[in-house]
This record gives sequence, C-alpha cells and structure tokens, in this order.
Amino acid sequence: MTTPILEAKELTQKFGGLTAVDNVSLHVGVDELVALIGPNGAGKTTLFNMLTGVNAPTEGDVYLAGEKITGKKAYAVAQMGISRTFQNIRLFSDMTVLENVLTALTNHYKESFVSSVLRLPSYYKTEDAMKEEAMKLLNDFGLASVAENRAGNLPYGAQRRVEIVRALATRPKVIFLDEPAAGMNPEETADLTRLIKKIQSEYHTAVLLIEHDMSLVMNIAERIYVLDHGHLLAEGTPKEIQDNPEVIKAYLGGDADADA
Amino acid sequence: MSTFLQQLINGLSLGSIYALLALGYTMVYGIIKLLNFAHGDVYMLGAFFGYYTIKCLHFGFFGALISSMVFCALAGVLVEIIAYKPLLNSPRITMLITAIGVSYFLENGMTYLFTANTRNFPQVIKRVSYDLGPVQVSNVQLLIFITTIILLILLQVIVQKTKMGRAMRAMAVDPDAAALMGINVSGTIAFTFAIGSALAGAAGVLIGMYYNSIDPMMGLTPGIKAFVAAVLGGIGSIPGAAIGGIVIGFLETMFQSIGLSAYKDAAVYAVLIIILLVLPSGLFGKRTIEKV
Repeated sequence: MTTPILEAKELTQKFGGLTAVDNVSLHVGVDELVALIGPNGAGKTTLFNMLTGVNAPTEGDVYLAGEKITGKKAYAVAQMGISRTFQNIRLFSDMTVLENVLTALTNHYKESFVSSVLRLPSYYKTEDAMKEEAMKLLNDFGLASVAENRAGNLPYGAQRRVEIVRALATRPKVIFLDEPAAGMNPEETADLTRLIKKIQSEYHTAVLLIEHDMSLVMNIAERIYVLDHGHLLAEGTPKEIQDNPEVIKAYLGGDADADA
Repeated sequence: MSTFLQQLINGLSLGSIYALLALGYTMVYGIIKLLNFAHGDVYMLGAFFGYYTIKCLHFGFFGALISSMVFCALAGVLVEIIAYKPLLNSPRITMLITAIGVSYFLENGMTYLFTANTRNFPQVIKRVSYDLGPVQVSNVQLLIFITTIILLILLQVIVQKTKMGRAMRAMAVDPDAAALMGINVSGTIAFTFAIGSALAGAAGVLIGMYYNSIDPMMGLTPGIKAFVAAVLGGIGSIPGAAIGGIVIGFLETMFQSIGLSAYKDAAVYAVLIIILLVLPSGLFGKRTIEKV
C-alpha cells in the first residue's frame, strides 16, 4: 500500500474523567472512500474534531500526506488540505451561494489590500479568476442557477450540496462528510451517492464519511471503520463488516441478520 | 424654522462622528461578540495623536487624519493582541470586564503621561462659514461630513468586495465553520480591530477640529453614545451603525436647540432604554434567539 493521505496514530481524547475516543488508529489512502460508522455517542464526531484540528488529541498524532498536523490550528489544517461539512448545516446563511464558495477559495488567491480598495486591474483579474473557479464548481454540482441566492433560502438538500461544494473549494486532499444524508429522502440520498462518487473520481479527493444510512455506506465505501464506545471495533470492506458478529451485536444488540 | 435647519446641519456633523465610532463597536461585536468599551478611548488616542502631529510635526489636516488613522489601527490591534486575544475562549463577560479595564487604563495612562488638562486643538484649517439661505455651514462641518461619507464608502467596498471583507462576514455568521474553511481567524479579528480603530482615529481628529478641545477623558461619553447608536441601528449591522450615529447626533442637537442642553445626554440614554425595551434587535439588527 502507498503512503496514506491521512493517518491517525493511537488517538485518544479525554474530557475530564471521560475517555471519548480511546487509542484509535486509522488511515485513508489517496482517493480512497472510507466510512466511519458506529452507534450514537461512539465518538465519531470527537474523532473528526481531532483530525480537523478543532480539538487537540490528549494523546496520539495525525499525519496529512506524511506531515504531522497534530496541534495545528483548525484554519491551518484546513489550509493544508483537510476540509469538511457539518452534521448540522453551517453555511454562511446571510451570504450568497457564490460568496460562500468564494470564501472557501480565499487561500488560493493572492489579493493585495491596496489593489482591492483602489480597484486596480489586478483586483479584477483575481476576482474574475476566483469567480470562474467558483462557478465551475457550482455548475458541476447543479447549483449555478442559484449562485446569487441567499444560501439560507435554499431548500435543505441544496444547502447540503452547497456545503459540499464549499468544502471542495478549499481544494482539499481529503474531505470529511459528517452525516451528509441526515434528513434526506431516498431520492435525495441517491443523488448524494452519485455526488460523493463524483468527488472521489473527478476531483481526486479522498473521502472520509460519517453516516448512519447503512445503504449509502455499504453502497459506496471501499473500507469501513466501526467505532463503539470510543474503541475501534472493526475495520474492513463492507462485506466483512456486514458479516462481523461483533458489529452486528453493537448495532442490533445481538440480533443475527444485519440487513443492509 | 431656520434654527431647526441649522440644528439639522449641526446634528449631521456630530452624528457623522458618532457614526464613525459606532461602526467600530458594531464591527468588533459582529465578529467576536465583544462590546469593546475601550473603543471611545482609541478615539481619544486618535485626537491626541492628531494634536501632536499638527503641533510638533506641522502636519496638515489630511496628514494628521491619515497618520492618526494608521496610529489608531496599530493601537487597536495592540489592544486586541494584549488584552482580548488571550480571552477569546473565555466567557463573554470576562472580555467585557477586560474592555472596561482597558478603557480605564488608557484614560488614566494618558492623564498620567500628558496631564488631565484640556488643550486647544490646533486649527490647521481656517474656519470659514458659508451662508446657504437661512442656514450657515462651516467648512469644518463640510469636511467632517465629506470625510465620513468617503470612509463609509471605503468601508462598504472593503466589507462587500474584498477577500478580507468576505472572511469578516463569514466569521460573523459562524467563526468555527469559517476556520474550518481555512480562514485565518486571528488575522481576521486583528484586521477588524484595525479598521474599526482607524475609523475611531479619524473621528478623533475630526472632533478635535470641530469642538476645538481635547482631553484624556474625552472618549468616555462619545464612546457610550456611539454604543447607543450601534444598539439603535442593530448591533452587528454596519448600515445600522451609520444611521444610528446620525440619529443620535440629531437628537442631541435638537435637545440643545429647544433649550434642554442639560438633558441632551439623558435623552440619548433614554433612547437606549426605549430601544432595549421595544426593539431589542435595533432598526437593522436580526432578531436572534440566544441559546442557553
């Protein structure tokens, strides 16, 4: 196996006396689509927060493309190539869809303060280039027609897509999707499935997915990590996970047939 | 009628100054939810810096205005780094109390260094009054008004059209999400303080020209009035702060013109109470429900 794009080594997070995540190691390969599942309260979001630099791990280290990123600030981690969406949509709801995407592009374009206030030609050049990239992304995800709408006014499914586009606009090496299918109907979930595959194949971005919708996970994930009570319970292909008796026990409380 | 029009002109000049100050309040509040009560004292620093550049370095009006804006931007960032940055993750009340502490520090520090004496602001521009029918407008009033308009337009361009402005607006909505999109949080906060403080510096020089006197305590009352203006406009809203400032300026001069000079400050504070009771989110603010 080649060097993983993202590697977490023996991560532990303690909140006072509570160990939310206990000694978890995982890795995501280049362009790999990995899912992280587990019952509510298993520590999935805590793990996400450690990987993205929101919380520093109590123990252990995180490496992005071989470089250690533990202890770096969230924005620095984002600039280095980890991007994410949120379990509860967190768009900049007052801004337009286009502005949301432009905000995420900020780091990839140099624009001097003086030239932007004086509106020198270089300002228009940068601004045009940013807009072009943003519109291309929006176009790819069927959002070009709503680019000038206020983000908060879009329907739920579209807001989810805008969040994904915004995360992609930071040009990440790996993108984290935190329950993207939450609250979606089967049709929207099917759309989402295509969209996630597209991220992986067309944007060559690795995906780490937290999701409760098992049909989605089993359908697209190449590998699955199962987290339970802060421990890594199992790791493997969807088939292996479905047949793993311990996983079935954790999820269904001992019921035999895990119908995906 | 002519008195009324005259007071309207006077109110507009005073209101412009409150507007410049209120913008700093509202921008800082928008981005880190801090009521920066030291903001009025940054304005005092601006007035003093302008005073010394004119008196000792013989700067002209524009030289003094711009150098004072730069100085205050640096001072504002310094205050942010020393006093507020270490407390960013503390409860909001901690930062609020710190802001009051910074305010006292600046007032008394300046009194210690430069004495509490009131001094005359050097008049670099010879005051001329123009008769426009029933009212008189002085060139200083025009200058205040025009400078404010230019600064407001500049601010609008920065906030709406630049990358930094987008980062500021994104942070005002959701600082955590903004950070995870790669926005440099501390840089954006420092930039906001710099812009707000530069506006306060400009206001300091303008008030020096207008009232012709400065002292280390001069920031206290205008600071609180600008805060009222920001609340009136809806704290966090930039157009709201500008309009709130003008309204407070009008109100104050109107009270003066009807012979109630002694009550002009009381009128402003009454506005604060009424706004908080009737329209807590202000004229342009968004009604938000605080989650506990």
